[in-house]
Amino acid sequence: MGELTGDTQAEFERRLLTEPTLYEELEIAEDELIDEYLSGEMNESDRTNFEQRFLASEERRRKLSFSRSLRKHLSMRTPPTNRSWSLFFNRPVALAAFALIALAVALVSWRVYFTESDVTKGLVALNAAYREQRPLEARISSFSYAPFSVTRSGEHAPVDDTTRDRAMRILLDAAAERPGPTSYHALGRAYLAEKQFDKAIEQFEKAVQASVNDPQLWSDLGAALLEKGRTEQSGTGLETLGRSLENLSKALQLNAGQLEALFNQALCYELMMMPEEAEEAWENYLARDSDSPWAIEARQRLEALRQRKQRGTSDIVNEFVAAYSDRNNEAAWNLIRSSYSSSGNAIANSFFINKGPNADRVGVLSFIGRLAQQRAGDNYYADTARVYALSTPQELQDLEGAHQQLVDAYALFTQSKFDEAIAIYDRAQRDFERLGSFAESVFVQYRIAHSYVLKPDLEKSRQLYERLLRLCGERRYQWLAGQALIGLANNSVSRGEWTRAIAYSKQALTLFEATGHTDGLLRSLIQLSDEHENLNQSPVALTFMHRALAIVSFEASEPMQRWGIYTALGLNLEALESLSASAAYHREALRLALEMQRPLIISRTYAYLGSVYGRQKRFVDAVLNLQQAYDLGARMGAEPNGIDIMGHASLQLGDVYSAAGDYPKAIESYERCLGLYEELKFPFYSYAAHRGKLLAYIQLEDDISTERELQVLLSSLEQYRENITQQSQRNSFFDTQQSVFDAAIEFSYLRRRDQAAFAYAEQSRARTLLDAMYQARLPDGLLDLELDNVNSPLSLDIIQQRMPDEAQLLVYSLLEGKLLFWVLNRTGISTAERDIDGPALKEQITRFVREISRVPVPQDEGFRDDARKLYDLLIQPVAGFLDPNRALCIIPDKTLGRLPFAALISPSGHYLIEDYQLQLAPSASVFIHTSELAAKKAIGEEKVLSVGDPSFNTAEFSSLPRLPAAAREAEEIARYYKSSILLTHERALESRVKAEIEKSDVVHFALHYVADPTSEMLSKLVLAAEATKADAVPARFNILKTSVAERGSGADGLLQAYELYGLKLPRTRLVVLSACQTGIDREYRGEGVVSIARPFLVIGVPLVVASLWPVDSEATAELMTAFHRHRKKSLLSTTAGLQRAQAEMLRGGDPHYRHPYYWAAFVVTGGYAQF
Amino acid sequence: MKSWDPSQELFNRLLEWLDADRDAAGEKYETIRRRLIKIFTCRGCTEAEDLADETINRVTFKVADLVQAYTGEPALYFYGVAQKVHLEYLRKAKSVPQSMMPVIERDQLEQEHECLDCCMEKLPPENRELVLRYYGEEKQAKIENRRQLAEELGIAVNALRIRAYRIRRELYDCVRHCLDEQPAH
Repeated sequence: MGELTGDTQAEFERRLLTEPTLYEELEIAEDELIDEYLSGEMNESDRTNFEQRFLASEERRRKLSFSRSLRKHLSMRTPPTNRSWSLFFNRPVALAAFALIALAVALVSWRVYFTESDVTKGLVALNAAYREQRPLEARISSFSYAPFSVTRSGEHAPVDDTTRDRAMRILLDAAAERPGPTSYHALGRAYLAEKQFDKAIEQFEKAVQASVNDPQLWSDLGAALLEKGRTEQSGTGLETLGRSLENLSKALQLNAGQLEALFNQALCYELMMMPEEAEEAWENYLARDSDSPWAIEARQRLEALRQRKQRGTSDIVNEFVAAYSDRNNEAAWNLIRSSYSSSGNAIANSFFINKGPNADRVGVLSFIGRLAQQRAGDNYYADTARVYALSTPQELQDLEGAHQQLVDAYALFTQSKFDEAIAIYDRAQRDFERLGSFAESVFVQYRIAHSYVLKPDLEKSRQLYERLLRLCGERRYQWLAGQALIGLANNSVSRGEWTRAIAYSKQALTLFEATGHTDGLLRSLIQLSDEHENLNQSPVALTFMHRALAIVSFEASEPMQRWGIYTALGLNLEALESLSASAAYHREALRLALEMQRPLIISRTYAYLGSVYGRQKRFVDAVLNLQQAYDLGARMGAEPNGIDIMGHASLQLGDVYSAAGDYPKAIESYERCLGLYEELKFPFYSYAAHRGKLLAYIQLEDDISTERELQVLLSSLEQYRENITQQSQRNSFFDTQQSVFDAAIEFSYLRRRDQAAFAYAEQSRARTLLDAMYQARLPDGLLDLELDNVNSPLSLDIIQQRMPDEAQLLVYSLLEGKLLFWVLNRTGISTAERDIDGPALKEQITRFVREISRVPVPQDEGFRDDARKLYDLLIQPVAGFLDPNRALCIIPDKTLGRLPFAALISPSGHYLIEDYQLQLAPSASVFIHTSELAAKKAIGEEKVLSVGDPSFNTAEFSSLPRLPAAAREAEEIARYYKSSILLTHERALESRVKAEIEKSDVVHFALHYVADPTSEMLSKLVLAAEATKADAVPARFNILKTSVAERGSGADGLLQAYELYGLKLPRTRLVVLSACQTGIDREYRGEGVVSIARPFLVIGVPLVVASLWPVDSEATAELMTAFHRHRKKSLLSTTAGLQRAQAEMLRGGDPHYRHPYYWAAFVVTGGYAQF
Repeated sequence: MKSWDPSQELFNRLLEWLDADRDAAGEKYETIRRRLIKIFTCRGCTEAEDLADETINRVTFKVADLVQAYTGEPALYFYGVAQKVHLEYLRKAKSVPQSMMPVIERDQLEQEHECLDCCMEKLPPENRELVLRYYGEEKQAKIENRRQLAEELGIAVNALRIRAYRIRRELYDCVRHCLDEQPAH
């Protein structure tokens, strides 16, 4: 049906002409395709293809017509009974092997017939190689059953190496000679069996692109991700498992009975700790395969799951009593520390309302008190035990009564009757105070504060928690202090004070790590996950959840703890687009919520599940779930919590209606949400509701309402900016909010309000950098910049007034379907626009950068086509406005930040760098700021610090080569300056560099740069290591655990980004980072690219030269030497010097270096400068 | 496309080139033509037969040279020419209609059904029963049904598949023949 690629098709056609049986096989396949079409078994895409392409010939249309008639004829006839066959065929009945059926079915697809023999041969060999034991727990399609076992000795599964190698050879040849989905798929299976997961995934993904409707392929891709996820540590593993489930679901959408996918899905649920989903999945598997060897294994797993569930119902109080009787302190403490929940400690609680003698009670409480003091430094139960020991019988009876009130109040609390609960808690508190049990009266205050959080009454709960924290600090009630911290974190989240919330949660986590309270650990981890999730830091959020999963026991943990974990994981994975996994976690959570019968919890779970279904475009399911959530609130009448429930469900309903295209209904839901929360004076969801309204009004083209919503949102965003005070949090949060700014830019631009559009663009761009340039600090214990102020960007008028005469700005706004241009200089402003296909442009830029940034082969001109097209798209529309006599500073947007503009090619065949002095700036305001700084620093003779080829620690960086060319580069450069400090090889010590840099005007680093994948603050310039290793900072350390003591001491030979923030560079006017990819670490929408260049800009260096990709050492040495020569000998400015050096190289005598790979990576970032 | 046909003499030389035995050559010729039609059909050409004939004509004109110079498999030479013919076709081709679903008149359908009934009756009973059973089920049941059928017949499923196809082809040819003999409307 026209799906074969060129070479594949030619190969097939040649064989069709020469092989005797292939023609008949093809005819049969055509008949079968026709039958498939007529019986409605074809999917939509194949059907369209069939109608448009397959039926193009008259002959096939005749066959279709004939097949219709045949079907009609058959439908009117009753097939003969089986017995009649013996009359016609008097042949011995042979057993048809099941494998032959599989082969026959496979042959139906004539599209892959030609590769089948090779691939089949390879797969048969692969299967044979692993016939004794399968290599992975997951099922790989076309593999026969073989048992799987994990050995503790680490021995590999028995495998026939020779056969496996043969299989690999055949399949590699098949993929190379006849590339296509069949051969890729087969090769992927071979890699998967060898546990080369990334290679397997690569092959499967290539195959899936060409054959999107093959359920086996999706299943195998899911299997590869499953096995990869199993091996990964931290949150990445969960993310990969989430992707696995997504692919397995896709397989099952295509074929609900795909056994491999069903099997793997159940395994994946088990790995992701979803016991109920796993149980259901195994049952589902067994319903379709009840007697194969796979089924036997499935049944065993199902049985094991059920047994684990039964084991989990043991009585912890009895276990504790046994441990207490045996004086087994270890076991007793483990039971105690894991028995906390928001109602207190379950073991201790069972002794407060006790019918037994008080002596026993006091004994137990004293025992618990002692253990808690010794193990966790917590005085709570020791204080309580003393009160019980000294109380009279009447007082003891009253204490029991107060405890009964706690039980009653908690029951009301779980039913969301918070006012009634608070009233009873108040009475209990008074009783405990009267009876002298101070500790317990403090506990009741915690309960009251918790009730106010959920009511919700933010002000009251904050006051109570702050008081509680103070009291607990004085008395050393550790568990309660941790609860107060989490409560305060929660309260701060509700106010949008994310940075503060995270600080509280981290304190709570540190506290619970010390005390070992399981409940506290879990709650702090969940809280931190939620906070980072809201800041668009899903990978970090998942890291916390990974830790939570390692702590929790799904058999024994409290349902509420498990609910919290499932819900957080569901939300994390939803943000990462792993919707199947997200929905599964929410379903798991829903079972628990229904079991607990807590309306708030049930309603939230329905709402989350509905939201995920909405994202999956299962709109009916989505609305049904959200309606369930809403109705729970509605049934609670005027209770504040009922209003909260309805408000929350309304918000989610708005999102679902919007996704379904019903914008009026969406707006109605958002307004209901806003009204309900207004009633509660609880603004937490207000931003989300207004954002939903904005997007709906834009769709409805309601300008007045759009304008109104924009104003509300932009003002809220500035409020968020003030409340999010850490650099990384702000960058990631505003990354997700860029769509609001983009909507504002487009809305204003289309209404010819260019100034407003420009202002919105500037308002969204590199704001954190701007704030950091004014004032920022690196607090102890944090690897993040703390931003104390929010600075407004400059207006267009001011920018124009303060523009250097010699410069012009080209500012881009890359919107979804439109690219906006502003060209401005001191005297004028011009605008232009161009309709674009956003994803296609992104793809084009990615392709161009990929092409240009790899070592070229001779005559490699493949980049030129895209270079011209990109020029046409990005420069041509404003070419008439640009002045070639002015330096051109480009302010890129989003993915344009990765583009080497210098290498774009104009219609006259020039590279852009040949026509303009080029530089980049993150925003117009930053450009002005750095230009003015440059003007102040442009005084006096320059002193250079030139650093090259440091003798770094080769044991730590064994993959990095030494850079002799960089040493030469540094030496050459130093010669151009009258005053210079040259630090090469072992002299390039971190301490020397730090000491000299502050005294230098120009700093040149020719060395290795190593970007850190976990945090840009840990990315490093690799210098010479000092002799002492004891103080060395580990190359990678946990961002959350970093303390001042662990900070770089200057001895480890690594100049890390966070250390740069601590430097003071009053003289430095230019830093050249002549190393690999120093210009891009990561990219945020709004904030732009973040790299090691950034700290230099923040600490007052107005110009930084950095690279966009890993560069060639020899060519870079030549380029950089020329650059400094032009600066010093020809007295050119930095941008002009780099321009000339690049132009010389691209036209130069060495044809090898003319390719942009060698010269286009380096860009100047910052302001305009005369030097 | 070229509009003239090669002479009988050239055509005879072509057959000689294909095989010294005249009958075998004729068979080879037919096979190549049928397969070329299939190739053009699979490439989505609406005039597959014309293109196959054009390919054969061009080879026929070249046959004198081929006898001297070409030593490979003749079918592959036809293939090389077919690719050129296809390229030329693509340059001239008009846009493909959105859907190729045939619009069939009700009368025509009824005629076809009548023909099929008639052709069914002409089949040997065992072949008729085989068709009825082989094509009698759909989806999952189809696979099981065919497996059982193959088992009863003592043959492999793939052999059954080929046997059913051949009977179906016979039926199809019979129906085409029957329709051709019907008076035109």
